[in-house]
Amino acid sequence: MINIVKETAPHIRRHSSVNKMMIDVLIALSPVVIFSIIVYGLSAVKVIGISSFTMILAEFVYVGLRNKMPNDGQKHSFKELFLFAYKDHYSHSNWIAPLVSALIFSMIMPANATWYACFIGSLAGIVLAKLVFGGLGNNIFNPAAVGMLIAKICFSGQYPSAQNNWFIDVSTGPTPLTDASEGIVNALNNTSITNLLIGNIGGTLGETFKVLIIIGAIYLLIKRSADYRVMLSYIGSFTLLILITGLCMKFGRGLNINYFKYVGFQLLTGGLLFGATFMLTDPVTSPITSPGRVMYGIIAGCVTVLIRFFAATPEGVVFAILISNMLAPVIDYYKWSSPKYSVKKLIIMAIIFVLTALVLILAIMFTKEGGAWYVK
Amino acid sequence: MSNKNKYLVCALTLCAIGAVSAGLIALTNEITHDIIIENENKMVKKALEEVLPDAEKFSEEKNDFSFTPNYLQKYYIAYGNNDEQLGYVYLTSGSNQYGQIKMMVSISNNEIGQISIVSNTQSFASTLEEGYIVPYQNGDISIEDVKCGATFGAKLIKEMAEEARYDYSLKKGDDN
Amino acid sequence: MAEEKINQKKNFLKGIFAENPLLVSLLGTCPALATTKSVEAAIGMGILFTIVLLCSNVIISLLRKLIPDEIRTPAYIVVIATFVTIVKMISQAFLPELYSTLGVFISLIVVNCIVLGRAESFASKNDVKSSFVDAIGMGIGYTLALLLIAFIRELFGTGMITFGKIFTFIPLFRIPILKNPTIGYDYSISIFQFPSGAFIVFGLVLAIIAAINNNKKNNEIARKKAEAKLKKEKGAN
Repeated sequence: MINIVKETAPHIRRHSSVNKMMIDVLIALSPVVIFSIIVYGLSAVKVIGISSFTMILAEFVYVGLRNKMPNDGQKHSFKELFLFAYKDHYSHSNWIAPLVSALIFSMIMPANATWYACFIGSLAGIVLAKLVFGGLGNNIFNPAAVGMLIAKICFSGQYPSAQNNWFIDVSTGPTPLTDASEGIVNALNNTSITNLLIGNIGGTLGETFKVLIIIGAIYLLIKRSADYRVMLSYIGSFTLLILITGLCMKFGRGLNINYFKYVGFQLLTGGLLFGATFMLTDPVTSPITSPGRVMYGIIAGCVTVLIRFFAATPEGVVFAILISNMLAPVIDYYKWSSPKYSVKKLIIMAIIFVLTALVLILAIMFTKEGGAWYVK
Repeated sequence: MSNKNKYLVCALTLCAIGAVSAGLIALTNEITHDIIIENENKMVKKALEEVLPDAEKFSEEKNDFSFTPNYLQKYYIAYGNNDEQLGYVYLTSGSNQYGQIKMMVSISNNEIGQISIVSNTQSFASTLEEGYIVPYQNGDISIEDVKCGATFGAKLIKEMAEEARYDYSLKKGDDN
Repeated sequence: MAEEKINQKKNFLKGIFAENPLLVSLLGTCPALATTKSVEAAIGMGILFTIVLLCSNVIISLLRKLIPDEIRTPAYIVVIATFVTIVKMISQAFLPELYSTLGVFISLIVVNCIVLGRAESFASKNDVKSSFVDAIGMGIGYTLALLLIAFIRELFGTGMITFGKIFTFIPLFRIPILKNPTIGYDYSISIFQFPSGAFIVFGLVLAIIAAINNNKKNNEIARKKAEAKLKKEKGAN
């Protein structure tokens, strides 16, 4: 007799269970987290501690509220109420998943964020982006991204980003991307690729030693806990578009830039590597099918480049992740989603890419001096 | 015949309702018209006085600028007790990628005086206010000190004030 | 067709609890998101709305036998627009700060679904007294719902409740709760003052009300089950 089991997302078509995937993500995150604690010290511990505690506590309270015993007019002991709510409903994934979200959230927050900003950010992230929708497996948006954005909107006037100088000081200063808003040529001259790689710059907690993020990515790929298609299509489309803009700037506007340095600068700043490895590959918020995932990565790449060029904020990656999350259910719509690559899907992907490239070329070539502030 | 009757009745009813409404609105307009104009004048005068408190009265708004300004919209001439010119008050409006700022700035003796914000739709409006506008209004910092948390907004305000001063110097230069 | 006698008390209370126009019927949400930045603006909007609703309900109920059925919508709109224009001019003259804070949302009362909805569904079918009571109930219900959202938004968004900015006959005073400039602490969460925060607060308020109603239902069901079980046990003994 066929046993039909009703399952909710994440629907994973591989043998590893959801728990194993989350533990792999934890292991891949740990080098980055430990290194950030080494570099930033107590501030990092404060951020990580507050966000972990808040998120795990919020999920705990949620499970209790969701399954609480209704008031039937009779007296029950506290132990009876507690067991009714939590037995059979609280498993290991109810504290591992918030822990993973909390660690990702801490890595995209700056080190000198106030305790209140971390608290409100993580609370808003887990409540508004995950618990309200139904808990694990039901969220549309990435909770860490939502929480970080809310904290940034509300509180970023109170803490400028911190700068680390390799165990020496923590002082405040602009990040390379805000520097770039004053002129890309100046910004390129102010930092070097090695500086960006080893993290001798200002930025969030996770923007320290970038090689660790790459190691984490390779570990996740080997263990098959993250899909290589999302990472490849995201970074691939991003790099291609950046190359196109570089070509425009050199031949169209006559700016003297070194391609390797320019592409490297764009790839290594703004939390791009971290977002590509840990936030975009989250199985709950990305599409199910393979061609869907490639399209997801391409959309995210195009939106990141557009925001980096035309908006005044260095948070292009987080916004692009959230917009792609919003479009993932459209990509997965039952009427057109299937695991096969079809000509129509390839055409749509190409159209998205070409449109973005066109917009960028037109903007760089034909704006007046001082119009698009990014190109000076 | 009853069809025509129905249309006639409908049309007449609508006309009647419309006429009564028009009458009521005209009555209200009679009562409130002057009070509204007086309120507006009071508000403009209050805003102008906030910027240049020594002035007694202000001219009407003018907008003859000798160059095409980026930010300036109109200006008022401020007169003192004995009808001497105390200075000019400019209404400026500018926007950057964070939002729009409308403000009034007073120029007297070729120096930038007080500023007063009419509307501020910048995304970091409160930071701008606490870090730059309020200290400048209290006299704690100079207008060049733009390194607050919202540097772009502060730069915009500084540029608008500088353009007002430029126009003032042109006008004063023309007279002399 | 005889019109049944209506219980006026129920008529009044239904506008506040059972059929609250904003929280139950989900009508008139546009001003609820835009004018709730501060408690004073919400009170002002609620008062103006109640006046318009009251006048239009009474007049439409008086004229309900004279307006032919085919032109009732344009007739209602003309009546409502008249009252909105009068209220707008009076507020522009006597309460100019309220007028400049609410701006275009006073004019938008014309197309507010609640006003036209009550005119169409209640005032055109019931007598003047019931329409009067209904209008007051709906108006108070709407104002209370607006106050709830505005209180949360202002409290968490700016940290203090300010009185006296709009109703200038009250001296300006602030109740500092989450933010106190004189002492120097600031725990306000400014996203609630933005439109995104308005949507979040509105959604959460609706969710909490739905949860309370669900809870009541679940408690009832559980109570009945427990009583039935007890009866069975008593019967078995």
